[in-house]
Amino acid sequence: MRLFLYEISGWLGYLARPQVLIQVLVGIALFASYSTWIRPRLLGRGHRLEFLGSLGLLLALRLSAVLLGWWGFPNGLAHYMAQLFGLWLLLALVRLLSRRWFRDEDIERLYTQLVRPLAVLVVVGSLINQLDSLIDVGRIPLITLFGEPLNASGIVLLLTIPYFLVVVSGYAVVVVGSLLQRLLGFSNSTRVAVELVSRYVVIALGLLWVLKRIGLNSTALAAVAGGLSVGLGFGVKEVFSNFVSGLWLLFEGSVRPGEILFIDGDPCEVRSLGLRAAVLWRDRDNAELVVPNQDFFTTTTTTYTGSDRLRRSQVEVSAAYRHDPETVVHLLEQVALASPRVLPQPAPKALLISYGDSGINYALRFWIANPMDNAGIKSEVCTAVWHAFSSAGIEIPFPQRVLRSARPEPEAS
Amino acid sequence: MSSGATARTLGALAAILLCGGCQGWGGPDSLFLYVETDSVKTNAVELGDSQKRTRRLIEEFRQVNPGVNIHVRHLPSDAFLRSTAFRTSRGLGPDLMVTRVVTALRLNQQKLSEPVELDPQRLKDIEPRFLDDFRVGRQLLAVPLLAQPELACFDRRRVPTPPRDLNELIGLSAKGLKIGLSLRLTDLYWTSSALQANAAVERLLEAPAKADAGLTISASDRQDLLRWLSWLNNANLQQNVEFADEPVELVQRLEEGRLGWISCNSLWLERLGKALGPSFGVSELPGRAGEPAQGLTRLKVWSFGRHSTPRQRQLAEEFVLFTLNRLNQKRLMLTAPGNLPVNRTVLIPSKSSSVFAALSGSLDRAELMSFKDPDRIETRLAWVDGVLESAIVNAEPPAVVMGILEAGPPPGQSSTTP
Repeated sequence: MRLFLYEISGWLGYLARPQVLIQVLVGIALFASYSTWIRPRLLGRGHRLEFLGSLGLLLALRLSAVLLGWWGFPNGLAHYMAQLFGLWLLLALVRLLSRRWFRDEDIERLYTQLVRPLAVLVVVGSLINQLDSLIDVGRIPLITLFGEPLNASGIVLLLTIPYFLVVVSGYAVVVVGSLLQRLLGFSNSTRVAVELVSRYVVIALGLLWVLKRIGLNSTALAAVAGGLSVGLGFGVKEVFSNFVSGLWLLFEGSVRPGEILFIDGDPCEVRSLGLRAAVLWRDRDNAELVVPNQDFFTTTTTTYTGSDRLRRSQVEVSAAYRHDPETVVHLLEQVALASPRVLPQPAPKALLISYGDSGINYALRFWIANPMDNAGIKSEVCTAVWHAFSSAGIEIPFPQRVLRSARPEPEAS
Repeated sequence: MSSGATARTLGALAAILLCGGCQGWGGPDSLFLYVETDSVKTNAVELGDSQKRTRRLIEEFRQVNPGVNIHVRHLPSDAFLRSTAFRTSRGLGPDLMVTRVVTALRLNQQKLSEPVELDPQRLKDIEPRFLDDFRVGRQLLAVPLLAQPELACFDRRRVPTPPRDLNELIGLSAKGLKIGLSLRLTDLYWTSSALQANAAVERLLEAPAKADAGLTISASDRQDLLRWLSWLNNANLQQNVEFADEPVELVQRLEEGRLGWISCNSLWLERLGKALGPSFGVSELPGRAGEPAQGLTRLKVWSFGRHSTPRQRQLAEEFVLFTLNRLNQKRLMLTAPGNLPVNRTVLIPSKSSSVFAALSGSLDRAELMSFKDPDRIETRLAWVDGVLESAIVNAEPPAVVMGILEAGPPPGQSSTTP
C-alpha cells in the first residue's frame, strides 16, 4: 500500500511542469466559464439549446488544444479533456435520442446500473494511462490475501467484475433467452427459468475467473470453502437450503416466474424466484408475497399452470321447483357459451346438483384461459345468468320464513 | 451542485494548482524514470530482480538528496517510443530514460529527448569510446551507463574446455555437442569477425540502396560475405547445430539441457547461473586460429526528457552522475551480473573470476555498432535478418543468398525513414 501511495502521490509532481499546468488551467477556466455564465442561461430553454451550449464548450476545448499546439506547448492533455467532455456529451445525446424508442425508466435504469459505472471506470483507467503506465500501476502490490500479494489490478477486478457480472448478465441472458425461445419454442416460464439458471452460471463462472485471474491461493480458497461448509451447517443453513430449493424448483418447473399458484385460497402469480425466496403477486389486493423457497419444497403446492394454463371454474345458482330442470340446464350452458371470456372448448357444462329447501340447486362449470381472471369471469357469468333467468321468467328462489306468533291458550276457569 | 458552487470549486482548484505549479507544494520533488526492457516476451526474464536493484540505488540517492521521489516504469522495447511519445505530447514525459543506444538515438531524432551538457570533469572517467559516439559539440545526446558484451555460454558437464575458434566449435558439434546459434545478425556478428568478414557486413549495413540497382558490394566484400555465408550454410547442415529466432529460445534450451553451447548476451548470465549452478560456464566467443572473436556490445544509456522543470533536470543530472561514479558502477557490476561498468577507473575482478575474465575480454575486444542513422540501420538489420532466416530455414546455397543481398532490400524497406 505504501508503494501504491508513493506512486500515486508522484503524479502531483507533473503539476510542477508549466506545460502541464497551463493545459489543466485552460480546461478548468473554460469549464468554469461554461458552468457559471452559459449553462444557467440555457437551462429550461429546451434540450436543443442546452446541447448547443455543451457543443460550444467542446469546440472551445478543442480550439484551446489547437492553439496550445500552435504556440508550441504540448497539447495532448487539452485534447484529452476535450475527448472526455465529448464522451460525456455523446452519452447525453444517446440518452436523449433513446427516449423516442424506449421508456424513460428503462433508459434511466440502464444508465444508472451500467453506462455510468462503466463510463467512470473507463475515465479513471484512461486518466491513469495518461499519467502513468496502467499495466505498471496495476502491478503494484497493495495487500496480502491468504498469504498471496494482491496487486492493484487484482483489487479493481475483485471490486468491479462481480458488479458488472450481476448487471450485464441480467441484460445478456434476456437476449439469449429470447433467441432460444424463438429457436426452440420455449414457454415463457421455461424461458425465464433458462435465463435465471444461465445468469447464475455466468456469475459463478465469472467469479471463478476473477479469483483465478487475481491469483488467489487455491489452498487458502479450499480452506475457506471448508470453513464455509461448517458455517453452512450452522449459521447460514436456511439461506443455503432456500438457495438449493430455488434451483431445484427451477429445474423441476413447478415454481417458475409466470406460474400461477394457489396460496391461502388465492391464485397468485410467481413474479421472481430469487436466491432465498420467491416473490408472488396476489391479484385480489395487489399484494406481493415473499415466500421462502423451502416452503414450496416441503409443503403441497397447488398450481394452475403445471401442464396447461386452463382453469375450470364454477358458479352455483338455484331455480324454483316449478321450472323444468332440462330448460334451466340448457339455458345455463347457453349463458356460459355466450360469455366472451369463457372458453367454448372444453364445453361449459351445467349440472343439477341437489334439491334444496327453497329451490333446485344447479352448478355451471366452464373453462377459462387465465387462472388469474377467475373472479372477474365468475362475476360476468353470474350477471349473465341473472339476466337470462329474468328474460326466461325463471325465478331464483330464496328462503322464505313465515313468522307466526303463537296465541296463548285461555286458562280454564 | 449549483453553477455558483461549481464555479467556486473550480476556482479553488485552479488556485491550488497555481500554487502547486509554483513549486509551493512543500512536498517532495518527483523524478520520472523510464527503463527499456528487451521485449514483451522476455520482459520478466530480462528484468530479473533489477527492480529491487533500482530501488536500492534510488534509496541511496535519496540519502544524499532527501525529499526526492523517483518513480520508475519499465517499458518493453517495442512500445518504448510509442509510450514515451504519447506522454511527451501531454507534457507528462519522463525526466530520465535508460535505453539501448538505437532507442536513445531515435528518441533524440523524434525530439522525445534533449541533449545535455554535463560537467566534463565529472565525465573524465567514462570510457571515451563509449562516450564519443554521443557527442554533439559540448553536448551529449545520451550518456552511457552499463555495457553488456556478447559471449559464449555453455554447460561445463558437456563442454569441459570451451572452443577457441570456429573449427573447434564445428569439431565439437561433429562429436555430438549440441550448439545453438541465433538468427539475428547482431547476435551472429561474431561469426563474421571470426571469418574476417565483419568489415564487409558493416559496409553491407551502411551501403546506400539504389533504386532498381540494388546494393553496391565490392568484389573483396563479396568474397568475404560468401565465405561467411558458406560457413553459416555449412553449420546449418550440421546435425547438431540449431538456429533460433529469439535469443531467449537458446537460453531456454541450454537450461533444459537440449543444448550444450550457445552464443549469448551477458544480460542472460544471471538467469543461466541460477538455472545451471556450478555447471554454468562462460568464455569469450571462438574466433580464428585460437584467437577470440569480436562480438557486438550492447550499451545501456541515459537520455534526458524534454519537459522537466529546471529542478527536475538538475536532479536528473545529479542522479545520472551518481550512477556513473566509481562506487555505484562497481556496485552495479557486482550486483547485476552481466553488466560491466563504463567508468574505466572501476577494476574488473578478472583475475579472481573466470566469468569477469570472459566478460572483460569480450568487452575489450567488442565493437559498438554505429547508429548514426538509427532508422536506416534498424530497417537494414531487419531485412538482413529476414534474408538469413530464409537462407537457414530453406538451406539456400550461399551464392543464392549472395544474389538476394546484392539485389538489395525491396523499395519499401530501403527508405531512410521507415
